[in-house]
Amino acid sequence: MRAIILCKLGINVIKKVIEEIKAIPQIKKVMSLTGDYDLLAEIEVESTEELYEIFSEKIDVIDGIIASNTHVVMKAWEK
Amino acid sequence: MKITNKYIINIIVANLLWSFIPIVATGLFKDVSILTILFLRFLTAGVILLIISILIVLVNNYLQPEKKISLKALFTNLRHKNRRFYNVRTYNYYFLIGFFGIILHILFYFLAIKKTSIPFAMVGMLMTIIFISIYEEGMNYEKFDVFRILFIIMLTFAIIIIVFVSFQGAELSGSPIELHGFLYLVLYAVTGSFLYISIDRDSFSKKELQNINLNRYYKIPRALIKMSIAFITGVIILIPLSYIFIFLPIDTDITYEVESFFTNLTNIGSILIRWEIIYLIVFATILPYLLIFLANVNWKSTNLTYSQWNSILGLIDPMSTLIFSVILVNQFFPLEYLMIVIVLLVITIVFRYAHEVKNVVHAYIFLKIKKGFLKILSLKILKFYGVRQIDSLIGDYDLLLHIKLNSFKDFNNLVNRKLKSIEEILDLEVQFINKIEKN
Repeated sequence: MRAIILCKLGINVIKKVIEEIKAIPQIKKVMSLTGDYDLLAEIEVESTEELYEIFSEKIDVIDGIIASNTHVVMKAWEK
Repeated sequence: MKITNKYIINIIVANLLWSFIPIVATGLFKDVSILTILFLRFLTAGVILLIISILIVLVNNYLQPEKKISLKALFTNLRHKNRRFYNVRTYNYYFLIGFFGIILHILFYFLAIKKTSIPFAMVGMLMTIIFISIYEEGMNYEKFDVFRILFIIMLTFAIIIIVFVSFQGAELSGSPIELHGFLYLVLYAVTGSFLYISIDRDSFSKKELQNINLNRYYKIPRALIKMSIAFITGVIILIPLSYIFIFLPIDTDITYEVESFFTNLTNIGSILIRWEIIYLIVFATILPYLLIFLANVNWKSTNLTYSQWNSILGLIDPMSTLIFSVILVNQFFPLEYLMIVIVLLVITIVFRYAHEVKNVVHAYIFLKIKKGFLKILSLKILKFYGVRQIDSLIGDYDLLLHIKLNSFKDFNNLVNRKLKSIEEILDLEVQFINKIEKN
C-alpha cells in the first residue's frame, strides 16, 4: 500500500529533514513544496501496521517536522 | 539537476537512426522516384506496425489473461472525438498527421535534398524549431524567455553558416542551388512544424483511461496503430493525387516524380528488396518508433516530460546528418565550419534544456469532492491535459492530482477554467513542487 505524507517544517531545517526522510528505504519519493506544506513524501509499505511503525519510529521523531498529514492511497489512475 | 531516465537513450538512438535517412535515400534518387520511396517505406512500415500491434495484444492476452487488452477497444477508439485537436474524430486526426505531417513533410524533405544538398536541407530542420517557437509565442502558449531567444539566435547563426557553405559548395561543383530547392525547404519546415505541434495532441476516452489503468502497455499497441493508420492513409492518398499531377498542364518536379513512380511500379518487387529501402522501413521507421513509444510508456517522472526531452534531443538528428553526410557521402562542408555549426547546435540543446526546465510547472493539486462522485470525477479529470496521475485518498482530501505542464498559461487553464468549473469539487489546494528530492 501507498500513502502520502505532507509535512510542515520549522525554519532552516528543510535540508536536514529531507536527508533523514530520504534515508528511510520505504520512502519512495520526496518533494519539497511551496504552499501550505513544505514537503511531500510517498511511502510504500505492506500494511497499516508497517505504516504505523515507520511513521511513529522514523518520521514522527524527526526534529524540525512541526505537523504532518497522512493520506492513504486507495487507487491510482494513470495515463 | 540529475537526469535519471534511462529511456532518454531510446530518443537518442531513434534520432541517430533517423539521421541516416538522407544519406541512404540519396542512393535511391538516381533510379527510384521519391514517391516510390515514400510509398514503399510508409505502406510497408504501416502494415508491419499494425501486425506488431496486433501481435503485442495477442501475446499480452496470452501471458496476462487478467490484464487483457481489447483489440476491439483499440479500434473503436478511432471514432472517439479528439478534444485536443478541433474535435475531429481520431481516425481523421491520424490521417491529417499522416498526410500533412509525415508524407508531405518527407516528400518536401527529399525534394529539397535532391534540388540542393544534404547539409542545405538541414536548414529546414532548424527552421522548423524556429517556426514552432514563433507559433507558440503567437498562440500565447509559451513566452520568449532569455533561453528561448538565445537558442533561436544560435540556430540563426547555424542556418547562416550552413547556407553560406552550401552556396560555396554549389559554386565549386558548378550546380547552383535552385530556387525550387529553397521553396521545398520552407514547405518541409512548415509541414514539420505541423507534425511537431499536432503529434502529441491525443485525447483519451474514459474507456481508454480504464484500459490504461488495467494495463499500462495498452499505450504501445495504441501508439503503433496510430502511426500505422497515419502512414497507410497518408500514403494511399498519394495515388489519386498523383493522377491529378499527371493531367495538370504544367510540368513540375512532382510531375517528374509521379511519372517515375508509375514506371517504378513495374519492378516494385525488386526495389522493395534493395538494402536502402529495407533500411528506411526497418531502421528508419519501425525500430525508431518502437523505441520512442517504449520510452513514452515507461517514462519515469523526471523534471521534464517525455515530449520535452523529445523536442530537445530532436537536434541530434540534423547534427549527426551533417556529420555523416560529410564523412560517408563526401558532401561539401569544410571542417572548421562543421565544428562551428556543431558547437552552435550543442549550445542550442543546452539552452533548450534550460528553457524547458525554467518553464515546467510541476505541482500537486488536492481536491475535496462531493460524496458519490469519486470514480466519475477521477476519470473525467484524468482526461485533462497535464494531469499525469490521480490518487484516490483516505484523509482530509479525496483526490490528489499529479500535474506537469509546460507553462503557467496551461496551468491557469487547468485550474481556473477546467477544475474550478466542476461543481462537484468542493475544495482545491495547490502545492507547487520546488524540487524532486528523491524519486
